[in-house]
Amino acid sequence: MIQAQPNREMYGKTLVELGERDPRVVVLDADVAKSTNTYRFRERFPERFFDVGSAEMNMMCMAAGLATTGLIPFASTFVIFASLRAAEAVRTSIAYPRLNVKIVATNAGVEICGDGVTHQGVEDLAVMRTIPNLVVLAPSDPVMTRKAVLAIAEYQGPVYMRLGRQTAPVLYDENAEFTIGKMIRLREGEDVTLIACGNMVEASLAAAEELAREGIQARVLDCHTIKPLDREEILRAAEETRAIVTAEDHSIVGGLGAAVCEVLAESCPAIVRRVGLRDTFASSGRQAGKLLAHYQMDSREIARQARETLSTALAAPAARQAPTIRRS
Amino acid sequence: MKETGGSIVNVSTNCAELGVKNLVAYASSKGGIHALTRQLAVELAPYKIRVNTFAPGPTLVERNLSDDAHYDATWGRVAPLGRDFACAAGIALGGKLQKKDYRVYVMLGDGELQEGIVWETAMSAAQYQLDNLIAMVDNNRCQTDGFTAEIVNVEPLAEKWRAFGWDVQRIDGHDFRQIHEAIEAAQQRDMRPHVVIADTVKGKGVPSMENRPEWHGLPPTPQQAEAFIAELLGEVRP
Repeated sequence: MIQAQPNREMYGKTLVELGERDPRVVVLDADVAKSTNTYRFRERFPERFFDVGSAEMNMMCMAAGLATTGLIPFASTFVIFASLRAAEAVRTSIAYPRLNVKIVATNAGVEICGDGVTHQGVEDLAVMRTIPNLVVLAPSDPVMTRKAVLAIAEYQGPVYMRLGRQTAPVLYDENAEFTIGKMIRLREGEDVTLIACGNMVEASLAAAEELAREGIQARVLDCHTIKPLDREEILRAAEETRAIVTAEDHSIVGGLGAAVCEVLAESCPAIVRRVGLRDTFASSGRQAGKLLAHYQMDSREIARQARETLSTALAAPAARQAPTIRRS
Repeated sequence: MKETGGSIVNVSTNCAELGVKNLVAYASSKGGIHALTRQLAVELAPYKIRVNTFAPGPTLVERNLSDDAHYDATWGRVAPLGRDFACAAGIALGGKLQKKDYRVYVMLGDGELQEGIVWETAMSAAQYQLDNLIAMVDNNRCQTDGFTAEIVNVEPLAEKWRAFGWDVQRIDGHDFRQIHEAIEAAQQRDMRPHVVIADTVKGKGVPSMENRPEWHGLPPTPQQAEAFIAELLGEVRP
């Protein structure tokens, strides 16, 4: 049975599982193996583990080189370094030649607390999403993290995956299905849709509970794949529910919320509210929950935004009566 | 060409030397080009005509993907697509790990050595004892904005590389014998990566271009090109 644990921990354990299964799996880290949990792989397969030291760009390019020799490299560091310091290497040396490198970055978002601004990776979804050929993932719980790690090892091509630092509760049955690019409907509802990724999925489920007590039925979608985005499920949400709220532990600029808005603006304009870090640098903090609440990135805020969008949508019924859906 | 001497370059593919599915006609005709090249080289040598074949590896472009949706899976292993120093180190590391006996050759420019990642890689290549990695620095002392020594000096080069744990040779990059000997010496498996610092002159052979940084990234106009080619031919003719 998979227990509640940080997704990064589940990542480390799954790497070992993969290593047993496939001798082509090699792991690189940039001096944060204890945090990313790749140390678990190092302990079991020291000959297939390479710590390049604090040299993230070098790590990405070496992973690219390793991939050309038929190996399956997993390269890990913190989100902030993978997405900003090493961005050009990811783009030009990994994504452009479509090399089979799996970048798994941990310590995503504001949730990391104590490490503060220098280590809060809140721009990665925006950066990685603009890079062609790259699959971008943000799983929510340990069950899905394990499935995602196994799935990307199977998938032929470059992948970026972000994982959080804090303990993640188990949201899924171990038989639940994970398919890259396909959202999971965690809760049915016809009034409002909450689309979330990573740790905000749990917060969205809690928000849906809160809304249910007020008679508002919220649909909850786990959008574990930011790219390629599940357009169909987003359009269905716009057609079948009256408003949409997105939630991510990421800047509201360029991430999941923005991606959802892009789809809707082109095909089925709907009222969307984005819950996330509001274009500011967050401070450091002792408790993840308090810090996220302070920056209005918690279940209460998601519920509040849902109520507001719903009343806006109801106030302008004409605009919402007959949505014209363009599926292209 | 019989009177003036010259050079013939054929275009082939690395498939000519590999066994690859679905390419019987293509690869065998390219193999023919290799044979043709060897024969012509001997045949035409008395006329001072050089004959070579250029055999590139796979390149991931849209058209190739439309031919084969699994292009990367099929071809990614045949030839490396990564381009820079760190990718080369990764390829060398992959070779060591899988006990393959290939060597990886990589070219660096002197201006390029100002990039931090070069030294990140230099350190890790020494750490992983990549003696199957051979780097050659084309030290022409020019970069886009001027002379390297005046922008940010990269010397002393030999001392730098040695301090990073590399086997270092320094040669005249225009002397073919020195290049040949240096590469042969660099093929030793002595647990150290190898670097050959080749001192060169930018624009060698074209007096109006020689040692002038402005030609670092500037393509000549068609008229200039014509004049430069004339200079080059003047240089090589006895």
